[in-house]
Amino acid sequence: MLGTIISTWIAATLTIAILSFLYKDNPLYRFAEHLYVGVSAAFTVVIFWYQDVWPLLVGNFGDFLRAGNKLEAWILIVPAILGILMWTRFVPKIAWVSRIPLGFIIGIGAGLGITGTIHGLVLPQLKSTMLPLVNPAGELGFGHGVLFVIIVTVLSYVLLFRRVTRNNQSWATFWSILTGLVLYVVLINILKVSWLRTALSVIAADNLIIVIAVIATILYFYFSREHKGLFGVGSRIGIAAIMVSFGASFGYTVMARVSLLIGRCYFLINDWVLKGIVAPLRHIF
Amino acid sequence: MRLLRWLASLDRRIIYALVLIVTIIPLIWKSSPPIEISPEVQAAYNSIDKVPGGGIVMFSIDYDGASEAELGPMLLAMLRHCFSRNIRVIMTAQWPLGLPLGQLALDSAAAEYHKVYGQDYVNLGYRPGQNALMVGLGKSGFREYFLRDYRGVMIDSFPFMRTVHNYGQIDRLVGLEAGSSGDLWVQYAGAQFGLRIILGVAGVMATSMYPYLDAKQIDGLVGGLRGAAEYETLIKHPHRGVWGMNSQSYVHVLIVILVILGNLTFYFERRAKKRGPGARGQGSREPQPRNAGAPEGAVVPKAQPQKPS
Repeated sequence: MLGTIISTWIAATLTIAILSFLYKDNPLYRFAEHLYVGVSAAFTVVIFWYQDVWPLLVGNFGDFLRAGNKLEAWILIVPAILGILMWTRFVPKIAWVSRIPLGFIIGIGAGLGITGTIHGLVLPQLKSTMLPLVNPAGELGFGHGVLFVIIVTVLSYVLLFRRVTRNNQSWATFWSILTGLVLYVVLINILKVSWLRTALSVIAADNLIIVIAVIATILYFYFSREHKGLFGVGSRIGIAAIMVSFGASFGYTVMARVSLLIGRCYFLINDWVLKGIVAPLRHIF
Repeated sequence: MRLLRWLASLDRRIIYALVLIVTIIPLIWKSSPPIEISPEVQAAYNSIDKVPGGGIVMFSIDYDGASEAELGPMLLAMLRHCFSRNIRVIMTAQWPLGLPLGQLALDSAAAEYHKVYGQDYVNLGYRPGQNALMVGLGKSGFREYFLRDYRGVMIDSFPFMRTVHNYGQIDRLVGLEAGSSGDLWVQYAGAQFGLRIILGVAGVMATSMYPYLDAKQIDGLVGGLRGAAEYETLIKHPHRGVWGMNSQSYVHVLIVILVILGNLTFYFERRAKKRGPGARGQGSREPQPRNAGAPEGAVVPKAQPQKPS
């Protein structure tokens, strides 16, 4: 109980010390920062030693010898030597020797990576991108709405608003998107024009968006040709798709950062204030 | 204008204080907001729910303290789900600092459901060389890599571990990821050995995992604190995830308000600059005299015609 309270107080003090940087840089923050880095590094070394080096190298060596497996015991010398060779980086004259174990690691990584990436990433993702674009029994969904708005926006921009606004791109884009949204709500949701709904539902909209976005994104990263004309249009759609992806990532990132703050605040309120201060005080009085 | 000027020169520490207040107040009340379950979290839940009692779920703790706020509640919720269904748990870590975090969660969940170490769950510990390990566990088997558990006890001394040889005996793998280990589990253990995988990931990398879900390379995806809250709702055990959602919502509202205010301030400031007499020429479309901005009496060279490049 006392140990928990003391450790909670230390953790709370260090949390507040780190958060104090938001006010301004100060020695308490510096101390907590250095302590965090030092403790993390030390802890990692301890884990490596007690979880891996000692049981897998020293422990197994003794076990194999006792069991009479001399070959398996002495072969452990090879990884031990490779590990020691890594330390030669600290001696400039023989630092090149450390390339031997590094080469070993990179070789294993590359060898495993080739099959892993092809089997586990390239082929399954290619397969999942080859999607049917027509779906006769389909129902209207969110993707259809997006597709309708995009089509109406592009058409109204090219045919109408670019001229009406005398090539003012911002206003033309604004009015085109607004037209797309209004027409979607009026024609599809309020008036429910049946032929339009049927025509839309036949298209596998989600699949179409995925296929177009994938092709357009690949076009954007093709730098051997100038991004002009039809190629330029494709590349612009590609950058739009990338931006949508970045936007989603950014949204999640904001959520993640807020979650970290919530985690620390939860600790301060629940573990420190309630369990570390209020509960002992209640116990005493 | 005075309000705009005040907003434009607002001390960032006031914003920090606002965010802190908005985060703390809902946490004191610990209320449970209505949480809608997303299909990917429901799929993750269903996948574990289909594991029969006595089946084995392997957890890989691939995060450290920096992501504990998101992945800790997720891990606890999934462990509770497993233990409530008498599913046995094998834990391992691809990140050295994940080992103690995983063990703390295991101890906490096991105590709630009266589970016994070695009988219902085992922690194998940390091993380096993740991709080689992932392939090796499928090919050579667990004993090549984990002859002992994290305490140094032979794994064959635990009754249920005697039947576990490779991925063939593992019903699901739950990867809790703050880095690239999730990709490796999918690409090596999933694609090469058919291991069924559920990923719980930090919010920062959630979007990059959706392609695996669409390609059916993973059974389900739990993303960020929001995913943890959904999982807690599904197992009807609201905890840190659910309680954090109110703070999450209010902070998001605050951020949106601040973004709108910031943009409005920027817009009106720019407009005021354009209109203001002192700001003539800054962003104005009117033609400027050639010596505008030069000190009085300075010789201003004539504009040179540009050579075609």
